[in-house]
Amino acid sequence: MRKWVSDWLDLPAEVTEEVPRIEMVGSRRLQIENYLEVEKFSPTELKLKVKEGTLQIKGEKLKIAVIYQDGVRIEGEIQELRYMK
Amino acid sequence: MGYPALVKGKVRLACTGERVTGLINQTVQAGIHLEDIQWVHEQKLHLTVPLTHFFSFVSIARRNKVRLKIVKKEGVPFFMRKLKRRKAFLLGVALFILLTLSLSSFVWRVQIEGNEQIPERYVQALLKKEGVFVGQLKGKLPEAEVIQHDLLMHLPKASWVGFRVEGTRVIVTIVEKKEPETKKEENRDPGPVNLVAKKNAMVYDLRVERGNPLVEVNQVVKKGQILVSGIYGDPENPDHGKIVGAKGKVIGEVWYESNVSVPLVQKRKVYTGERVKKLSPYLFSMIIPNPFAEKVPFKKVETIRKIHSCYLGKWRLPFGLVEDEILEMKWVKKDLTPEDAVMLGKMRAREELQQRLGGNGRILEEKILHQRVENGKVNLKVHFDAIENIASIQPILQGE
Repeated sequence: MRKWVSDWLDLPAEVTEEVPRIEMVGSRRLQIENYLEVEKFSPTELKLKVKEGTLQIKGEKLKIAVIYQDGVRIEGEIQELRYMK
Repeated sequence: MGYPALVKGKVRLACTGERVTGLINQTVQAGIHLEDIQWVHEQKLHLTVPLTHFFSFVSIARRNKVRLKIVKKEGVPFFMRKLKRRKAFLLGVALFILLTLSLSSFVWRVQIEGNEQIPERYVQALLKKEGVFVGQLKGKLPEAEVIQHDLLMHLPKASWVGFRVEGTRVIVTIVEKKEPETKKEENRDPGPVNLVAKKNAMVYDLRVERGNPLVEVNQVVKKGQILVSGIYGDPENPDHGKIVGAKGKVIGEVWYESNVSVPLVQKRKVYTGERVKKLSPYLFSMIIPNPFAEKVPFKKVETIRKIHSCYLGKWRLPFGLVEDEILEMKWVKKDLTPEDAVMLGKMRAREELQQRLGGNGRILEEKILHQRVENGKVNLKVHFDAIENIASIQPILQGE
């Protein structure tokens, strides 16, 4: 239903569907909005639960710079970003 | 929130427990911001919590059986608490502020500027009488307008007085009256004089204030001839008259001839409007050209150079920037008809003569005597009939 609304009204998906919006600045900064939960956190791997599965971030010296209800900012040497359904 | 987190205070905590990820999720669910979460080992994290949410975070941590240890406290609230413990430091701060305030409420310097003839001491004395002196409380200074008025009354040589307070300085600006220069050539009395002719001329008008005129209107006089004698009495017997000195003007009609040549092709410089600006640094008197600068794309140019020196306060440093503005120009040729050339030549000759006569003379008549076109030029001989003051002073030598 929500997907249909977003397609029909031409609204951005992250507004209507609660899917994550991911913004990456260079390789050292990653901003994710609309996440659900932190599943795993270590300096080499970070797993975030999102609406359609799990987001896996791999890298080195990872840390969570800021985290709040709607978003999270991750900093570190990001090497891999993967969607796991 | 409103204020930045540092103003409200932040606490850095070390969290140890089995369910640290769960702690993060629950904290975030509760609407608490977490910052700078760092992984230490499998069951230990470092993270920063805002002070305002510290206690709710502690209760969430308890529920998850996570042990907390404070690593660092930052922000204004902690700083304030530290301050309260250090009474002497606080006292010092208060004393410093008090001292600065009290010291800055005094006048520390009275500066007088703009005076060249009025002695500074005199102005200072006047100011002291008004209540403006070093050590005076700034609040006790009289109104600027009052001081300006009083100073102006006591300084007849000043045409304007300004009074202003800049910090702890009092600045009095004086603008002095410009007195006309009294030592002008004409005003100096050279003693008794005769007026003699400066050049050959015909007398046009005599305006004698004092003295005995020896010539008449329409008389032709030669250079050096006495026009107005400074001796009253019989001109035949100059030794017996009363010496009074002559004063006045003798206007003579003088003929001038001038030769002008005007080229029929006039060349003039014109800027095309194209320009390029170039900046290059200089050191002492050496300009260091920019090796990467583009070549100036103009054929004929004129350069306007501006030098921007670096200043350190008052001192000019021996380096800075040279700004060259390169303007493209070209020559514009204009052909003149012989009539126009004659007009132009006449005008130039007239201007030249007028300049030579100065303000005293004027041109009565002009006539072209001769006109010839030769080698692309018009040669003109113009005759001018001008009137001017031909009198010049000559001291009467006594005892001869």
